[in-house]
Amino acid sequence: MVTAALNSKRDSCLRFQRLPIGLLLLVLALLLAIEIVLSTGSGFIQVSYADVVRIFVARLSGVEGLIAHLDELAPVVVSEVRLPRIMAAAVVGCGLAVSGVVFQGILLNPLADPYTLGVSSGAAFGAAMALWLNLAVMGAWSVPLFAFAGAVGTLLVVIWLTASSGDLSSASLILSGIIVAAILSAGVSFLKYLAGEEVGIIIFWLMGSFASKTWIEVGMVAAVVGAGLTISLFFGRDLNLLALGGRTAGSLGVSPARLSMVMLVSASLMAAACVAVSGIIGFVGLLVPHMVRFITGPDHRRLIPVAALAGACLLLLADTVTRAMLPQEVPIGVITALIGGPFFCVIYRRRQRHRQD
Amino acid sequence: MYELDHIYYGYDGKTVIEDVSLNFEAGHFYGILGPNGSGKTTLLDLLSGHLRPHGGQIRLDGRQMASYSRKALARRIALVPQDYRINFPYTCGEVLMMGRYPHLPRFSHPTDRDHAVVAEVIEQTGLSAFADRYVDRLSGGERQRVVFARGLAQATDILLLDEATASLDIQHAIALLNLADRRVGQGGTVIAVFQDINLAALYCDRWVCLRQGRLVCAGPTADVLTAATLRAVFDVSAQVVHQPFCGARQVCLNKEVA
Repeated sequence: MVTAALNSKRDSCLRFQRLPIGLLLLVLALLLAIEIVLSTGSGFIQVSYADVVRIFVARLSGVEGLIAHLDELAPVVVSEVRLPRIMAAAVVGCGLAVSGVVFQGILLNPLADPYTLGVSSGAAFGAAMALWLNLAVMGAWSVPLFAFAGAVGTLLVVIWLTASSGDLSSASLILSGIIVAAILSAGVSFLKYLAGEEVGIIIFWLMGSFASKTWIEVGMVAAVVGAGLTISLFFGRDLNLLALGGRTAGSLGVSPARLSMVMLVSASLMAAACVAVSGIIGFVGLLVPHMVRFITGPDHRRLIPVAALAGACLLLLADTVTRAMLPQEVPIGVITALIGGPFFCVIYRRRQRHRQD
Repeated sequence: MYELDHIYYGYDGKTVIEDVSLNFEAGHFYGILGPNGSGKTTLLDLLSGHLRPHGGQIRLDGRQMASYSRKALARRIALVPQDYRINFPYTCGEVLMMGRYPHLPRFSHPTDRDHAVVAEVIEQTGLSAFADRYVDRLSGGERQRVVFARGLAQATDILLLDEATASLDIQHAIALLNLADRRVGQGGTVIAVFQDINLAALYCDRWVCLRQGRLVCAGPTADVLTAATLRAVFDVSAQVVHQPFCGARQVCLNKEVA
């Protein structure tokens, strides 16, 4: 009786996993498009959804006549203020989700996330440094550039530290990441201490935000995330084989060491670019892969594209909630952790219960 | 088929394989035997191309192993490891299909032939009831059978088994080894590391014995499997008797160890 019930549960789950991938992607893409329109329309200045679409079409096609009847402010608000922010949220959500999928796939650890190798601590240290020094050398670019440099520097140190132990095994990578992150967190604390009364700026940056993003920033993060996504999709099938162990993956035509290195670097660069523009946004990279794996199964050829769109949808939703629905804007990193944390507890408990069955 | 020419392998100043020269011929069931740490698994890794020898040469069909691409090797050599952990909830069917990856271009879907091969292996290995179940919810022995079946689904002419039946009950061990043996009957080659001397005696027509990384003896089982060999390799006293019941030599041990 119990077994039959369990089996039927399993079957229903499988039927879920056999949904054609094209259909899933289409539904998510539509959802994202609707979300973008809804999100663009809402905010302090209300713009009707029809007008939002008109502005999109006008901007894309260059037929300005479409929006001639509108208030002059609306097109500016939509295309120069809201859209860059919305696109930044979507691209960062996509980048963090794909990066999380790749990290979990390589490290064979469902608790890995884009920040496992200390990328976030490195970015935090770089950004805190730029904020503390009040660097204006590169204008508005100094903080993202320092954050990116900090993240990449950390990645190199972690890989160097791991390589000295002979291999790129999951345990030694995670351990090296923890060591380096701990040192950098102490560094960030020290910078906060030194910053004195200015400490608020550093703290606020660390909590993450998409406020006042520009199209240039969107373009930069989109370029890195796009490249990372392409590489991840290309190696999706090879990632599946890593789950069978390095020796077996090798006997099936994949070089496990080389694959791990390529994927680690591209996933970390994606995470670094995301953190550089938006600050540290937790739980997206941890949670989205789990949720999506439930729908698509663990096959990376399905998991990666679906996670990319789901991550974009979710982070955009969270950012819209904080920007347009809450009475006061709450830092996005706080929102994702507040919603993501308890949700993760639920998933985790459920998994443990399944284990015991 | 394989020619091993003065192979040397070691790391951290420790020699694992030392001066092994050996040929493997197609169409035989080879058993690799030796005490723990004698280099059996390393030898398999060298044969699969996972490791490169630090000295000497390995040729496969007259060509250097290093001159084959990994993909080309994966179409000729399958490895069934001892380790059967699979971390993600793939279904057994999906795991078996991974054995077909080397035969498929990166972005293409499995062909009818791939589905047919997988279905046949599932049937042969008696895994029909498991095909849609998640591997991470199976018992160790069941998962080991799935991993073995994955190796068969790769449909290579060389099959390397690294204690691939060590965690199975004897009924399933025999059933799976029969499938490997059938491959040998069809012209394939199986090279298997065994701990169980009697299973090795039952299936292997060629024995290779290693001790401390050196080749002790190799040849037809009838010549190699003797009490003297077992004493030299394992330091145990044994009686080797031809058993009409199983049609092979079997080993009888006493409690004495050197």
